[in-house]
Amino acid sequence: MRTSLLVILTVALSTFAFAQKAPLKESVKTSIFADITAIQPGKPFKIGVLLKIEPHWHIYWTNSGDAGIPTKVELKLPEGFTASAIEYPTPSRIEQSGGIVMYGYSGEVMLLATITPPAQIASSKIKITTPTSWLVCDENSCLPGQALGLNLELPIAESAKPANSELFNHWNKQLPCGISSSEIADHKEEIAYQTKANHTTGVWTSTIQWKGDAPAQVEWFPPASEAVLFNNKFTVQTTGRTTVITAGFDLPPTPANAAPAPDSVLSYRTPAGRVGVTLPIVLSGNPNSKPL
Amino acid sequence: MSKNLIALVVALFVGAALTVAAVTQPPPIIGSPAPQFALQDQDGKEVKLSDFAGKIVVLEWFNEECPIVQRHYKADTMNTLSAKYKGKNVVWLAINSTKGKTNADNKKAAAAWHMERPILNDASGKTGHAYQSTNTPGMYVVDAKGNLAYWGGIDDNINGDKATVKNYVSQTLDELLAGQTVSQPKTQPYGCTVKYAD
Repeated sequence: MRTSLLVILTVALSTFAFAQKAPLKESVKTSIFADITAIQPGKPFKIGVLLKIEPHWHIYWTNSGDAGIPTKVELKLPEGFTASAIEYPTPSRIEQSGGIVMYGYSGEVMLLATITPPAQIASSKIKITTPTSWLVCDENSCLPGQALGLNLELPIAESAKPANSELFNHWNKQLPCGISSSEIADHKEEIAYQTKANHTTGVWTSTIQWKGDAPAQVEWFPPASEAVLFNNKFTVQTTGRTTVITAGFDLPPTPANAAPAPDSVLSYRTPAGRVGVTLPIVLSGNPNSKPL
Repeated sequence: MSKNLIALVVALFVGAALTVAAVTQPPPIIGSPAPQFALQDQDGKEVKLSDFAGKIVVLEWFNEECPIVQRHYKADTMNTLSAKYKGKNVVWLAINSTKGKTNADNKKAAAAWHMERPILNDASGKTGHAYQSTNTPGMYVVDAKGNLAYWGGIDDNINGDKATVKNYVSQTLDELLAGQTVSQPKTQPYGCTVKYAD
């Protein structure tokens, strides 16, 4: 009796949610931060674009998966300044009905970059602009968004103090770490290629040996790459101290040496929290990768 | 007794296998026959893939509420391309697998976007599932022999900010019409998810 009432209530509520289709105007709020109070000539520092996402909505990682659009941050820097690639925290897996698998973020996420100023700076302050664009979706709708005028002004000084330390400490820890500092003892890649009518497909298998018993919630995130297109219906199987990832892929015809296969990301849970690790993809023996 | 037990185990096993098969259909394979379908267009007329034997068929997964679909209709990507290949042995069909959509909804969308081609009603999601269609706009090209020749995005302009855009459907159609091998039969899908009923 009570259960059926609950069912009716749930159905009624979900129907209401579905009927209420108008997407929120401001489902993502953006802000920009630096990890220092002032720029010191020649001394690298970090900036971060923080995206706060409405509950039940999500935005996407560099590989958005079966649908979506990757969140993109551009860096407009003063002359002489250089920057790293945008660093994306370990994403989450988002599943939707119809077997759709995507990779992205809900709640909030900070996308980071390391900026290196030149050894000499003539002006007394500088401005960094980070035009940011995204597609934000929930179960029923999507809404493209952008913050083109997002910018940060910083003074130039001989000395500076750390700023926004808590924020940067938190988000730096969410970035995938190198395999050597992880719980992984060893990993081995095996690939089977098949070329039919000039089209190469294959199966990539990675066998991971853990230092101890396998951690909980082992997940894998295939990379966004022009060199290899992974099928999002892969398997991750863990037994004892071993995890085996088996993923089908397609190889685009362009020589892969023009666009090397980037790292994938593996994540797992330890008592201290969720850990992300970059797991390299070598594609050894890639038939498309002929020397130039 | 033990025979019964074996029968029970076998029955359970077969049952489990069938359940798995129902949930995870094999994916459509490039170079293999494309899944058949029979769906109603916006006027209630039945349209089947087999109606177009000997023709190249473009399938466009459509949802007029998806902002990425809207982006391509505002840019006239789909209408321009379908007009370009009209009369060249190419048929272009839009398929709407969005839950709850009716023929009337599709008729309204076709009128609003000046689409001179069918929008097929797949509100049940059956055809979408058979093609493992994940996104709108999601594109498939079926060659004149009925085999799947292309599966992926409409183009490489995922973020919508590229100055030079490579349209994969156009590339596929040009290659098929010239009797060449399709150079990029599978590409990164992008856009909204297909809003399936289940």
